[in-house]
Amino acid sequence: MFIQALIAGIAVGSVYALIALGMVLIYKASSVINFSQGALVMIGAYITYAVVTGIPAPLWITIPIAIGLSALLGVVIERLIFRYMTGVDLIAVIMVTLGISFLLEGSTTAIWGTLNYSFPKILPEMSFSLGGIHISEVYIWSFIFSMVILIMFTLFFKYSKIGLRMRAVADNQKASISLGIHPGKMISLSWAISCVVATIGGVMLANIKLLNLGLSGIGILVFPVVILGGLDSIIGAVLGGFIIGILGSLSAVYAGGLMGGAVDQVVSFVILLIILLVKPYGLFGTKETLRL
Amino acid sequence: MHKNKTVIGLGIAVIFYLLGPFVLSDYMLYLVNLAAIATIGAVGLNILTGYTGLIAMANGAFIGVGAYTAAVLYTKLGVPFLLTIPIAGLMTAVIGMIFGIPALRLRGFYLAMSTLAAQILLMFIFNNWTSVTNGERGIFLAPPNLFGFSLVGDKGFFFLTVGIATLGMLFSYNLFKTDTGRAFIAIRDRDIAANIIGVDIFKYKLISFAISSFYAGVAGALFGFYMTYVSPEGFGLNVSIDYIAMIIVGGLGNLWGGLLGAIFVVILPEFVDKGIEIVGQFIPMEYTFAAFRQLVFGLMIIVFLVWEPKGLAEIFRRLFCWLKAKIFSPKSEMEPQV
Amino acid sequence: MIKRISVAVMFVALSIFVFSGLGLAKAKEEIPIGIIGVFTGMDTDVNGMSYGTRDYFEWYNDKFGGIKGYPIKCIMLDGKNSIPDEVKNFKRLVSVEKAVVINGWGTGGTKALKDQVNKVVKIPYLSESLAIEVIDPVNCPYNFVLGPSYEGQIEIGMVWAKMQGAKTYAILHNDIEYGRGTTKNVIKAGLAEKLGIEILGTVEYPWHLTDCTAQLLRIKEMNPDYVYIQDSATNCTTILRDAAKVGFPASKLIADCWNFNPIIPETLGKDAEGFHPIMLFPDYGSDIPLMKEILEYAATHKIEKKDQNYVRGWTEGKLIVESIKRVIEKSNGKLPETAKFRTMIRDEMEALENFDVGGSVPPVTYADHQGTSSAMIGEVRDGKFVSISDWIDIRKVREELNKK
Repeated sequence: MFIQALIAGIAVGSVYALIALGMVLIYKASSVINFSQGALVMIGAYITYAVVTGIPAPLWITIPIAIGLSALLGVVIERLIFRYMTGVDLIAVIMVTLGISFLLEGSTTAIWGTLNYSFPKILPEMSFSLGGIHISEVYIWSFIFSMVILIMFTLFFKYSKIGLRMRAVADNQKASISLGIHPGKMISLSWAISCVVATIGGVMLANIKLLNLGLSGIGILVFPVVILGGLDSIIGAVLGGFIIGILGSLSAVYAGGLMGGAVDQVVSFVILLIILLVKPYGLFGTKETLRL
Repeated sequence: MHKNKTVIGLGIAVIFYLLGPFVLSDYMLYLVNLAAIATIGAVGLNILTGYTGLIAMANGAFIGVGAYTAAVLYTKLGVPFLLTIPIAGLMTAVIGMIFGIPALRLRGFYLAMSTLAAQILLMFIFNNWTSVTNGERGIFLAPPNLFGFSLVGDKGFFFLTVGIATLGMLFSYNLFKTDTGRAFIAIRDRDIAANIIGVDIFKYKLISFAISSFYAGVAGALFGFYMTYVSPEGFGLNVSIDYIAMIIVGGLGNLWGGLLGAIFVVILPEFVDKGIEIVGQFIPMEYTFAAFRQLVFGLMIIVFLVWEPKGLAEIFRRLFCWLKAKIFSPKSEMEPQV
Repeated sequence: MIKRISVAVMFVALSIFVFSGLGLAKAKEEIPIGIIGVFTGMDTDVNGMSYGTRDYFEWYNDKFGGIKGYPIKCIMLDGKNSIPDEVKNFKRLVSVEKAVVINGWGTGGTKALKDQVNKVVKIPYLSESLAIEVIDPVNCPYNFVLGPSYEGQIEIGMVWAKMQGAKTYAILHNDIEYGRGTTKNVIKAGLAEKLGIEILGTVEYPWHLTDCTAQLLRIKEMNPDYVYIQDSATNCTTILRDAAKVGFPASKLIADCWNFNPIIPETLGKDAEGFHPIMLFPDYGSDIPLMKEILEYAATHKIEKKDQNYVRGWTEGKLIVESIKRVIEKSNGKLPETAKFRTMIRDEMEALENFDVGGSVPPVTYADHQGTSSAMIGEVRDGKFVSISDWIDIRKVREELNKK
């Protein structure tokens, strides 16, 4: 049973990792803590659903359209809102992302209503049994995607020009302007990428559950992951996702009978609290220095 | 002249307070009562977030602690109704201080996260400590007696909620004339500098948590008695988020911010519903348009943060100055900014 | 300056907007009936019942010109399945709209309004939630529900399992009132022992469920003959999927009435084959007399949700209208004043006996405030729901077992 719980935990963890990656990316590029990641995940799934079921074309045409639309959404959010939010208080940033998530949930309700939708099977079939557990293709694909994105981002931020510019913008906007970097463009781009990552996460999640408004709830569950891994660490997001997934799964198997209920989710928030008290910047995060 | 105005203002307030329940319909009274309870919670949260600069996402759960404390004292131990309210406040203040301890090391977003964890943990306790909280079943409260009158319905509660909300605002107003209140503001503006000039940051952060939680506890006790039913459903994260929205929309670090924000968040759905009802007569709209409430709410928050970060309180102040300049003394200058 | 003026104008306009509406006196000689539905948030997938009731009123108004000549004025509000909002809607319906009967929604709201409904306002309140605390004709004379409680449904599942020769049973449920509270009641009632079925255990999972593998692994270790899932379709889909993952067959899973939802076979395909939801109402389009009325209405109107919940709503509308009709007959064709009207409707509702609603449920006798305690067991076959049992009346079963 231990092995089975472990495998189940890794499977769930890879979905967490995917969603955490989007959050870390935005933080890395613009120091914005995104409480609307859950809503982006949800609306990404809806957009993909609408495009795939609405346009009578093969998947290799529709999927890029869906990804393009998600990227556009990210750019619009940055251009219309965050462009005007430089140098404001943290609480304003947190609250504006919460406002965005209300807005996105409201628009989703207005457009698609409140029905449950059955998400079309767009992932290639590919499943196998491991240690007595049947692992469905969703989890395998989540694992693959999270690994691919992890490698891509790591290389992107280390070696590509744009990636380096993004880091410069996040580090010091004024200095980066003097170097000829347009911070708005860089942040726009990071929102676009983050929205695409969120959409991938949303498609995975909609394949696991049903497509409905409840998908945005994942946004909160991912916070322990990013805190554990470190807010600005890409590898941290992925490892954090696996650790939280596994611990949640193990605690549900072994402590669920004793404590009942949402023990796996509570365990991840207890971990969050411990991490905050012991090592606030997570396993791989960069320590902030305070200046007067 | 100035004194006269104050007297007139006070007079109007007292008349409203005494006559309100007999003029307004039960539905309007319900909205007023909800707004008054929300005001208590929001003024409290404003002390913590607006004045001390500590972001807390556990206000919903703190309100729950107050509601449960009052409910348990009242139903299981038979403590008189009026006494349960301050005890609920004190109990919540203690819990708030415990969850404020991480503020020793954490600031900003990390502190927000630790309070988010507090919210989740407290909800777990509400749900699972069944011997005390009755779990997800909830606790029924019989309508309480106050000086021999059964406090049932909206009229009786009007006096209580509006009265306590007024007291809460008065306390908050006076708090920022004391050393403690000024220490809070110093911590918000430059905590390291405050430390250097001798403000014990940790102590004052904890005091701020305690005061804010006390307000939440009182609001929770009132909410529980008013709903006559306490269950975990009413104290989730969405409630915490609503409270943050209130102080943002109302005005961070402004005495009137809590009041205006609470009224705004309680009344906004009414405006939207009415709007949809009126538009719906001409254009057939199905109920998916209930989504508009969320849309407008989200939009309002964003608009306020981008366009008027100081909130409704600032808009009202300017409006007031402008009206005064126009109507009362056309030639006088605008009041200087505070 | 323009900014300030616009702000002022906006404010004045908005204020007028609200208060003009609130002050309007309602037209006389109408029968105001309130519906508290859910149009935002969780549970909206089953809001067909609110639409069903509303549409029944409209159909009745169109066809008969109202009840004995008095048109029904239906006020449908969004309770968001949250306690403060449902209480707010209740106050508006009672004090502003002067509704004479309310079709309410959720478990929490219904419980919070218990005192208001029964002691303060005294208004018949037919709620969609089947919470057992309010099914109590003595202490809650104004609360009505329609159908067996969730507890009853779990027991109906047991009775059926027993018929299939099962010896062991397990219950999988969520951690909110709806799941945990219900399960506790069933265990306490102890029908299982009387039936001769052993409950091997109960397993709990979080309400916001992402993955249920771990919990299902525990179930698999217990290896019961049947497992009852006490939850609605969203979580049940996840559970069924994960059941397939750990290799637990869907044919051993029974679940409550909200899982009679086409989304389940549609989403899961072969993983849902053999799954057994409880059916309280026949599906939309079934061959029953009541369906003819719906189709008549559907010929000219759009049906929002074509499912069994809509049939349920239609049935509830029928019960409400029948009670009101009897009240008006008794008061010689005149409408009594509001408070008396409410009490009279309650009395007439309770007095309904063997009232034939047209085949959507067995004839309704409302003395127990439940109307019916019967349900059928369904099964997913080739992606479609079919009923595989007759009506199982749990009250009769209980009575028989108690006699022994």
